Amino acid sequence: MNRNLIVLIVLLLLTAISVILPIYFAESKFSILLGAVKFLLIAYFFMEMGEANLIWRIGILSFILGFCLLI
Amino acid sequence: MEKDQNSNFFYPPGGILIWIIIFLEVSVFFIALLVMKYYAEGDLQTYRDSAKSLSLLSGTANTIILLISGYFMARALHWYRQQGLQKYRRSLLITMSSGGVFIVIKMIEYFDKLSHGLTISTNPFFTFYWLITAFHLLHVLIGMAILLYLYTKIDEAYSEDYPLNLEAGAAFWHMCDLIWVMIFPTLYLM
Repeated sequence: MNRNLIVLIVLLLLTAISVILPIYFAESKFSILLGAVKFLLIAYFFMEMGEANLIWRIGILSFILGFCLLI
Repeated sequence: MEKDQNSNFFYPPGGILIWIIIFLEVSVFFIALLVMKYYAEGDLQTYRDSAKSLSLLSGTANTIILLISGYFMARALHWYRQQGLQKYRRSLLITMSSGGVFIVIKMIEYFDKLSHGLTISTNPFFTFYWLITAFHLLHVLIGMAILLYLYTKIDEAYSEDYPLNLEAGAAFWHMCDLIWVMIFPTLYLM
């Protein structure tokens, strides 16, 4: 199984969890946080951040961290 | 493709220009979503009630479709680098088809909202809904046009410019994924 397929399966599972969670936890912000995790996975694996320079990894991680803190 | 040569500070995949565009575009969407969240705090009930009128089914379906299209875009790039032109062509075609399905579902959703009188001026939630999703849809359409251009130029796939164009196109398409995975929970799962 290739790496991208594993990432896709994880992304689909996170989507399923983020749709189901609000049914049980109406006030939670888990769905948005899971969205941020998905964002990171897409950026890092699909956009090949892992093969780019360190500066891009730091940039994207800072961006996500900032978003999560603001939310 | 000279992958190692291009993987230094000034040459991320697709070149520096597309990454500046991605950073700016993602920033614009994030700021819009944050502004929406800020206003929602002041009138939470209206926002929650309005969010419930959105179709969770079409939102979820579109999320799954965009994630799948992102996967095939990544595979297209992989097959291109492996010189598997047939598999590259097929992956690119699946990516574009998925984009097409996304647009059709979005159009159905828009017509449904309009038929129920839920327009941009209905309330602040729908103002944000229409502006953010329509702006995202515009990006998907631009992404489709880029992919279509790459597809029509497949005969020149191993020319000098094509690899950089392909990487830039792939990065732009993934940007549409990135933006949607934040729009989806913020609007549909509020």
